[in-house]
Amino acid sequence: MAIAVCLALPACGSALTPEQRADVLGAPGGGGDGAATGGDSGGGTTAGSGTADGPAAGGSGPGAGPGGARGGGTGPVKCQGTGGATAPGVTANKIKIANVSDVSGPVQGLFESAQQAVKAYVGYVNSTGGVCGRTLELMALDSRTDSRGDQEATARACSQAFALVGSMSAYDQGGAATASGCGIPDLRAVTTTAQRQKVAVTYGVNSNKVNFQSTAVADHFKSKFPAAASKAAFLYLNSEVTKQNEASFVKAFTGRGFTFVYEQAIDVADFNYAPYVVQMKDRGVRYVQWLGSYQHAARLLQAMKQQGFKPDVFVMDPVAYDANFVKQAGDAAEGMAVFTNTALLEEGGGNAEMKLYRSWLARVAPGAAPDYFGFFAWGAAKLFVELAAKVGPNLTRKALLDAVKGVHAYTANGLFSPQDVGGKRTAKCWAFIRLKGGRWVREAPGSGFRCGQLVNTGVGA
Amino acid sequence: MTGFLAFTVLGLVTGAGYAVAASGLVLTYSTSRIFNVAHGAIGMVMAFLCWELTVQRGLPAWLAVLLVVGVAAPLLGALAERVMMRHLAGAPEGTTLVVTVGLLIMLIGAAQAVWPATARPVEPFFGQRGFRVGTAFVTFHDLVMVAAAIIVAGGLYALLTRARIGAAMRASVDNRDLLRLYGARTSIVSALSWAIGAALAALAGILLTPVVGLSYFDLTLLVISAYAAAVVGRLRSLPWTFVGALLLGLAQSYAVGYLPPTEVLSGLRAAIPALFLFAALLLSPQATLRVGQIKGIAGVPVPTARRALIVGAVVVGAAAAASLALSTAQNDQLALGFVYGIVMLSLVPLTGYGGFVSLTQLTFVGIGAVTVARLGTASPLGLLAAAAVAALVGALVALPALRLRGLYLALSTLAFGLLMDKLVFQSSLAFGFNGSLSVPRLALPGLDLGGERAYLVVSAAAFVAVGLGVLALRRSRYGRILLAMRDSPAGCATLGLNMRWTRVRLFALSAGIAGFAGGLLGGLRQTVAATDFQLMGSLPLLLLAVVAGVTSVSGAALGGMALMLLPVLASEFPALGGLVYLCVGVASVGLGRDPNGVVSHLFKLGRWRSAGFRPALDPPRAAVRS
Repeated sequence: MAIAVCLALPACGSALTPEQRADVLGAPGGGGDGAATGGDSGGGTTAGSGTADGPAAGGSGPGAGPGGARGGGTGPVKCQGTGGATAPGVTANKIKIANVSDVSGPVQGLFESAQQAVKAYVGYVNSTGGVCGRTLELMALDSRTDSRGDQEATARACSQAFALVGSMSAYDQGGAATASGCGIPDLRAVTTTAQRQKVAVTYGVNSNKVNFQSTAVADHFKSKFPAAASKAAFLYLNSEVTKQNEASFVKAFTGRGFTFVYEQAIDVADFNYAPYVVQMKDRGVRYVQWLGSYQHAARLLQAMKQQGFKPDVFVMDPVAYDANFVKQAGDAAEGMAVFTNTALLEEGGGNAEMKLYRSWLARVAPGAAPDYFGFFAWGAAKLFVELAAKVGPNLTRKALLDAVKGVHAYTANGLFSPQDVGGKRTAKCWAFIRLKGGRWVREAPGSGFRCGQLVNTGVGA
Repeated sequence: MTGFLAFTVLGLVTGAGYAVAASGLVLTYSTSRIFNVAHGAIGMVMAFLCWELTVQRGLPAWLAVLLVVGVAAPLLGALAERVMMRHLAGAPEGTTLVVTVGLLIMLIGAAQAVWPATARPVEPFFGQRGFRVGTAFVTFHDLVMVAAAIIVAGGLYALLTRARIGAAMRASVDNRDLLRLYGARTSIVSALSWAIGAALAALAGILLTPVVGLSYFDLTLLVISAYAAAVVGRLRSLPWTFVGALLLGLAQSYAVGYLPPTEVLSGLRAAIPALFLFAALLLSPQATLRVGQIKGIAGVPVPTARRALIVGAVVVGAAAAASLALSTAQNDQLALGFVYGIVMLSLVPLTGYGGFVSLTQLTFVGIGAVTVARLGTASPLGLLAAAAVAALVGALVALPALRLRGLYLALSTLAFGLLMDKLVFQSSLAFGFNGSLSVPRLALPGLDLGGERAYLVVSAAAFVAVGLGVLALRRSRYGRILLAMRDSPAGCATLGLNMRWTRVRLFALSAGIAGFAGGLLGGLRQTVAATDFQLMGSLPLLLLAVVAGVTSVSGAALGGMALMLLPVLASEFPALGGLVYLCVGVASVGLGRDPNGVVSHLFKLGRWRSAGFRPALDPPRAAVRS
């Protein structure tokens, strides 16, 4: 969903400000794991960022069951012995995995953070002795921000690697048929297109699916801005994927009491957004939601500011949770709200898994910053290792895929809200943040995530 | 009424943006007859430079603008004229278009290499200060843009019609030699017009950046929309360009204000610049044929049918042998090179023989892929259907454009591509709501073509078959008519040849070949999306076709492989970043003037080698005689 938007492609992926880095490294306490109570009204239950109900339990570190326990995952893998060359890419002492992400293309390094996160986790696991006596070897492949690149890289992975891990490509439909044909387990950071989501061997660790929407998001904004819900507007950048997401959002929100008085696609070549703002003013819009790249969001916010239009709230998905967006939009973005399903970088001091991710990222890619896609790629690598350990020495593609199907509330030890990876259903639990004084601050719940029910909108199913 | 006033004011502001962008384009064309596709890219690079000077180097904004618009941009314009454009005087419009496409790609590559992607906010002049008109708020920056549009239009009009140097600029286009005889220094006149054009591009870039944002592509896209305004002025009249720009801005603003925001109409709204461009082209007066002009282009040698068959068999055999040695991914890459080669072959009769430029060949490839996907058949008949549907659409495109020639015809293909992008490909008729489709892979009775090895051989065989067909066409009467039509339309008309229907058939043939390639491409990828066939992808395709050699089958093969390899190279050598594209741009600027391309140089090299070796192998005739 978040990610859909990168399809207009100016630039997703984020870089932290020095202030955010300092927060991540040094902030005491903050967020954290464990169950939390909702600090705000709005209904639903609240999930702690460290809860999990995966099929295996106990232990910590790479060998723990999916979801893991708290504590940041340290210590070696618990299983012993290897079964030799049990599958393509697997030998007695090595497991070759591949990551296919957009590194080159119109926007250089678009999803490089996903690849760096997997590299970081591989470095970490190998430092602890690997998985059941096998070390991990990573094939870092570039999908080139192009469906053809995704197909070619997937084909290479099919023949040489055991599994695809933590991949992230804007045009991931390119490799859909190839992955399906060769049966390679494909544990992605995020699945971007409906075509890839439908592939039987593909699972997104960010388990969002276009037709499933959590009521938590609509309910939160309705409870916070009850008067605005009846005068809502949804604007989005005109692309195939955003169209689907917009329709699904609107249907879900309408079912929770929202009335959309204005829905508008904006073309990528359109440069003057003022007429759209005038339309919203004329219709008395009080709630505005945007789906699209952050660059275009910044353009809309600036047009709104220029025209003196100030709705009760301007809402975006995690695409906006990016230092570059804050820089680009400037004070026009002040007060806007974002719903996100990851732990907050600003609260990272208390999150052991985030600290681990950061420290290993600094080793494999000095200067690189953690970001939304990196969280899920790291989580995908972690889940792969946990499942491989669970499968044991006789590692096969089928056994791994069977294991993935049983993962239904994976949090990567509190790095993100529970994800129904095996069920391929959108996360029920979300956190809500607002931009205040150029910094993101948590609005609700007090810690962890607020959960709702999943509704099937039927859009894009 | 206040709403109408607001949309009118905002439409005029949008129109002013288009006017500033289009005016430099018109100046350059009217003084050099070169349609500068890279106009937006020049503005983009200059906007980046201005940001560099103000934000990174700390110069005051006024000084940075002065340095960029007054010094850097004119120098870049004069340099482009000196290095690239001077030798293009009198060249076919296809050649000039390709060279400027090369310049565009080079500039985008350079910007990516110098300024890596990151957020670069640019504040408008005077911040957010402004005034209210009805319910709309107009900033002083908007006002500056409107004022700049008026001043630029007025100033250029005065320059071209009142000033001596302006008259010399126009005269240098009409008859360069005559102007020289009158004592004018034509090289300086020409350089000056490019310098002013580049300065105007920089001005447009700097004024539009606070609104559009500092990005590699957005300004380029905006200027493509501004083409419509320029065509209203027939690429020469600045006042009419100004009027066209305002009308375009108003049309877009009223569309937001008064068209219901339904899904179908949102596509229509996005297509307004394309519809505007199409309408302006169709309503423009018919160009007259230039009598007495015969400009033949020496083509590459055409092989005999026997020789072509032998070479074709060798190619298929080599592909079969390579398929056994290569990995799965490499097989797919090589197959893609052959499929792209077929797309390039579709340009050989159209551009190489006929001299027409299509800026949207990838759209026909998309039509072919959609046809096979929608039919859902693995039968070879699916490929034939893909070719037939694309050919039909190609003929339909050529029909309304029968009156157009040269650049106008090329721009009409651009408008068609934009319409397909915005309206057709996104509709349920084509890729629909999901944006992508599954395509079955070709199957033949008794043969398993599901594997990548078999598909590579099929792709190579298809390339060879289409290549043999193109060569047969070249040797036929129809092929000779095409060459004659390219070299002297007036001569053909005098001889009573029906050029219009020849052209419709040619467009249909070219689109059909591209559609056939689309069917094969779909089978290769097995999943295709609307984004795979966007208009912007057609520009590198045309560029590489011409650089490799658009008049020969060998050139098409080379171009197809180059198009396949380019992103692979950019990915394999990440340190180079945009430099790969920069190099392609530079190469195209150097080689784009010769439609026979790189391949013709290879042919010459081959002849030189054989000529060089022969004396050593054969005794000199003189010696034998003696």
